[in-house]
Amino acid sequence: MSNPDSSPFEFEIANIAEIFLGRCNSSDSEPESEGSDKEARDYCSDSESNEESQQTDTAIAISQPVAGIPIRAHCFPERDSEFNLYSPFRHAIDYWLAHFFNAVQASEKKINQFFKDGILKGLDPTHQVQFHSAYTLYKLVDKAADEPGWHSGKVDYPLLKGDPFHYCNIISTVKYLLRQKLYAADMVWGPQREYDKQGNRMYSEINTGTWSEDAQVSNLYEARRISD
Amino acid sequence: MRHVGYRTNKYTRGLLPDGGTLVPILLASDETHVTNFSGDKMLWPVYMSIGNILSSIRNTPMMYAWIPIAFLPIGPKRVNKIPAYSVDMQEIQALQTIHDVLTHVLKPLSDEECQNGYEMVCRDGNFRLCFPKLVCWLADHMENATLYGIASNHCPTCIIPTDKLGEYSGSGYLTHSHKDYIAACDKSDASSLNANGVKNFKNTL
Repeated sequence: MSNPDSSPFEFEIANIAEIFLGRCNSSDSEPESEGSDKEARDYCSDSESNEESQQTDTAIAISQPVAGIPIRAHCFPERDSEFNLYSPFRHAIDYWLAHFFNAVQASEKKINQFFKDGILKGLDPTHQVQFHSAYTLYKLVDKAADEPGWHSGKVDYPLLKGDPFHYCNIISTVKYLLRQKLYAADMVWGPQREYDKQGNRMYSEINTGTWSEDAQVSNLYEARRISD
Repeated sequence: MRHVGYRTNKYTRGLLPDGGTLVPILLASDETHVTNFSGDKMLWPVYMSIGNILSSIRNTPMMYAWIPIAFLPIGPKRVNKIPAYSVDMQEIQALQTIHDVLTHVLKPLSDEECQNGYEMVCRDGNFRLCFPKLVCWLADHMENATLYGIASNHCPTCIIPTDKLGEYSGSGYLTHSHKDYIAACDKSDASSLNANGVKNFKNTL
């Protein structure tokens, strides 16, 4: 290991063991599938408190029982005890090390210097980190975020022939968003009517609107303007 | 914010069967200036989210509920000195190119398979028969003018004369008749389109 005084990571070394080894220990002791839920709760603590204050105005919420009905149950693979929640990273420590580099916005040069200095060897000699350079780290990160996939096309514009454009399949994107664990507690599946304490109809989310209800429930759907 | 649900089109049509789940698709776009002094690069991203996610979560930046689904091509600046292409023709062709790309991107929503619904895995651990429908496009006025193919000094919703814009009218004005515009476009009847500030090209919406 090189002299810590000359290392660009001198102020971070003390934190590394605490941050990502600490994370590994806590994630090993907790059920793995709760990680994302906790992050979601942390992120949303402010917005939830605002939501609670708004919900005091809503006296009654009536859901429509004929829309948004589940067809059958689905078992997510992460319920399997052998499922690797950190895929494509092999171990939690690999994931948290990549997370650490991302959080401190370490440059490619600094990441390479980190591995060149061999700082990790002093922390856990038995563990082999999955990546050993910024290049292999970025490849793994790209692999972790490859959904929804991108496609390319070219336009045939007379003054700009062969100009490329890039797009995702819109149905794949819908599927991707619907199965995100981060939003699980905050999703709605059917129309809902909301009333205040005086019995006046209230409109907040898209599913509380008239159009949403008409499209899913009414058999007398007619095109209507937003002002109706 | 413009709501495209007030009129039916190929991306919004159709009733849902009992038990079906509406997946409202929200799109947002804005042409973005990226760099100066190195070619003045521009990006034109289109972002997507779904209305099933509560707005408090959807609009929190750290929740990443808005996903880029397309980067549209940006046509070159209009050039006066090309004899084969007048400035007006260049503008129409640039619009048509953007709408052709949008047609390609939104095509899965108008497929028959989409009208019958997709079985999709939802995060609460269930399959549902989901019907993705385009319901909303968040855009500023210039973006609306491009999407709806109107002149930038016209209203994208109604046929209010340009000199009355911004003035309150108790009786209101008629909304644009998109069926008439489609018929006029098919007949290449440019004069009736121009009277309402509508450009003569095949609009994807």
